[in-house]
Amino acid sequence: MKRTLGIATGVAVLVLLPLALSSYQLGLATKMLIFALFAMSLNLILGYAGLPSLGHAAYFGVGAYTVGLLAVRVVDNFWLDFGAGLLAAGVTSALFGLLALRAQGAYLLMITLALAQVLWGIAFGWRWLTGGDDGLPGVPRPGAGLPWSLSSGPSFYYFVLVVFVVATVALWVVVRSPFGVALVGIRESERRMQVLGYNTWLYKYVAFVLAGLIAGVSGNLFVYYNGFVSPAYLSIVFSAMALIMVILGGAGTLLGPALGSAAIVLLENVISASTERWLTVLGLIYVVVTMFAPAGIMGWWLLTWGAPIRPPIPPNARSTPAKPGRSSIPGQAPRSRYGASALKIDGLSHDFGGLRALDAVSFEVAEGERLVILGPNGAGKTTLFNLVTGLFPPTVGRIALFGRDVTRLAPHRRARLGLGRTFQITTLFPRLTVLESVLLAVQGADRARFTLHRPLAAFPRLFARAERLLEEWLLAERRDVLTRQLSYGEQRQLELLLALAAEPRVLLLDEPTAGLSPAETASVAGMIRRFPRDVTILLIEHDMDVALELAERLIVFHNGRVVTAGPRDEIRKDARVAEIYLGIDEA
Amino acid sequence: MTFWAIQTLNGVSFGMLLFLLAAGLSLIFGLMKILNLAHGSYYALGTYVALSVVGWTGSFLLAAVAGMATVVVLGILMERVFLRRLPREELPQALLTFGFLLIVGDVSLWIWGGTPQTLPKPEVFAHSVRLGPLIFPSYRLFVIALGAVVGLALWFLQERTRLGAMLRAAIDDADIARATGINVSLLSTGVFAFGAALAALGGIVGGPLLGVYPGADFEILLLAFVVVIIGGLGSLKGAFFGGLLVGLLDNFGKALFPQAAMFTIFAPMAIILAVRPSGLFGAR
Repeated sequence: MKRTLGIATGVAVLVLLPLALSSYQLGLATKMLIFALFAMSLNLILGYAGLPSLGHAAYFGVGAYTVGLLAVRVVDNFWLDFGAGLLAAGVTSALFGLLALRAQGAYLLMITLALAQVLWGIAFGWRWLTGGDDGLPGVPRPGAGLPWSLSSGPSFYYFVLVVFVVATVALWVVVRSPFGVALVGIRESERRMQVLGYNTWLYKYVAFVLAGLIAGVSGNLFVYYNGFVSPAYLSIVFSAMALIMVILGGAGTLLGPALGSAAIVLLENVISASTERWLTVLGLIYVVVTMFAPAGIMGWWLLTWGAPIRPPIPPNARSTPAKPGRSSIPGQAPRSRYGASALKIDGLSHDFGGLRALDAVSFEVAEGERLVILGPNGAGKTTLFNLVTGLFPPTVGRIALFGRDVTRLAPHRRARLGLGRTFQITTLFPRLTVLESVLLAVQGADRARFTLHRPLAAFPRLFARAERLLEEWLLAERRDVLTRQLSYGEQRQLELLLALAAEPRVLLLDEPTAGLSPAETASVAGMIRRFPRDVTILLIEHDMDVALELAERLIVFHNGRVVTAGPRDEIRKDARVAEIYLGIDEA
Repeated sequence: MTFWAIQTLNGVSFGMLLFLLAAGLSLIFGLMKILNLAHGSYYALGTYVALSVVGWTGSFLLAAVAGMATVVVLGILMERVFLRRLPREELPQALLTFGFLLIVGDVSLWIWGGTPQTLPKPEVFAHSVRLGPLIFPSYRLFVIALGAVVGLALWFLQERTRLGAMLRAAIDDADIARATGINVSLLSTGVFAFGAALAALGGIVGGPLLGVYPGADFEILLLAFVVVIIGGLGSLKGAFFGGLLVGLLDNFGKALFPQAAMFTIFAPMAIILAVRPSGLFGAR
């Protein structure tokens, strides 16, 4: 309610602004809105998806140049020019995204910078078309093709305001949709999202193109605003400006970047009026913000004034009675040992450079079976899991899941066929709450996972299932705690719960009890014991008590090979196993 | 024939300058994973300081030392006081260095003004040399020789000395290097200072050829980036051959297709990005 009031007040102020401001000040306000849009578009990939870019001005500049060139040289028609500008920005980001999203971190920064620079080079060098260094002057305010002219200050301001509000609402819907929530998940842990069944590349790509489109809108507006376009619009200075606006305002918050943009535009105006050293001041802003205010204005606000913004929980989801799902009744499902084949490994090998980590391993696991994999460190157990989940391709060999060859399938496709896993090194979403994490896992198995036009709150079934899982697995009390604030034992439990929430049929658990106290080990082991009987489980475990308790069958690995395999009691007596574990080599 | 020989010579000498600039950028990234956008400032600031010192003393050598020393101090300041206190994330680091790029550029404009300026050539290299039928300015030959010597020295340092072994260890895994007793902290500062010094050297040596002006810092930064993208980030070999390639491309591009000057550099870079994202000699 308070928020609705705040938004209404904000919109009312923006609508009434032309009455209170001089035409110069109104021009400034228009510029703020245009740059707010630019910064918010960057924030979609930077703040939500965690993809930094030093070339975001590319789409801004391409939009501006397209509109400018068409309006000045071809035809001055608003719909045609604006549409073409949008199309050009979209095509550019679609192309650049293909190249850039293969990289991460510093490489991503460099590639985006380099790509934007290619366009800068074209605009700079292609003099007869673009005017080169001197730019392209004389772009008229939009009018032709529209019912009324936008040449006056207030009318253009209202036009920009309408575009700003529409784009903001669109962004607001996207970041609250299952798609937007998944972007945050990717920011927090891309690998975890992959094994939960998300095609993370596609999410990042769609976000990248969407951000390029909105940046294009702001570039279109800015060329109308300024009446001029020059290579500077494509330059690193503009790209970096958008970055600092996002961070100053607060990355990952919807309106933070708009605040950052307003602050920078205002400061530039005030400081340029009194001194020629604006660039020095801007440089100092970069230094101060990165050193002392990495969370930005909104970050500070949220820290001081209350809870972070969380996806709202629909009321009907909370009231859903927490009935345990039928599939999760533990225990007594048919113990038929020889069900259909769940997982078949055939001659699987993997080399790391010259090191053969896994050497012609073959075995088969039946549906519903509980198999424990034993072996000393470096035996190739985790490598096996990484190959089975598709995190890297095998050197040779085949993997079949329920009779289907998945050797070349992407990780998220395997996850959707019912393959789940946990990691030896805890792989969770540090800055999401327990509930949000479980929601992501539940959503990954739901067809709503790629919806981007409806908020997550419109899917009460996801919340209901997440809440039910939390109650059933005794994490309900911790539902609103940030993952990174959980104890290590709780994190291990949450990781198991995430794997389970994705409704797997085959589950790979990589040392779930490693590093836990005896009490924590007991509760994690108890959790695994209560897993639905029809879920096939492969467990890497060093704790012999846990291993022998949970296993129906064991496989022993050593130096990348299967040394022996068999039912529990056989392995217990096998002399070779003792030898391996006591460090006596066969030779 | 003369045209090709002269253009090749010009391209190679420019390539050697680019190598000096890119080597520091590449080394700093290799060791600390920091994308140092202020690298262009080192070039410009070194040249400006050298200009002033040449004006006061008339000694090119003294000017070179002063220019490099100033930049080394700036580099150490940035590394020790600022970058070190940031979390090890690429974006804040890059933005911080971008702030320095803006500040140094603007303060230089304040002190040295906006007119393009050129360092005078040292007296010794004022004349030209005759090689068979061709006449070359001896200064360009000096630049090529200097680049080759620095390249060889760097290679020797990295591959054949204890310091180089420590550096390679720290690049490979800083934590393990630290655990084996290597002072990675000191090494980082050293590499930062050294990289800055190389960039300043590039500026001072290139000063008589390219000059210095507002915006030169950006231009040089971008050229250095193109070099490391083509050659491969973190690779000395990549910086050397990338520098040569870009130097030649730039020269012949400007001579043969003046309209598409920038494009002849950026287009090959885009192709390399598409085909080999880690560059010609990149490890990844």
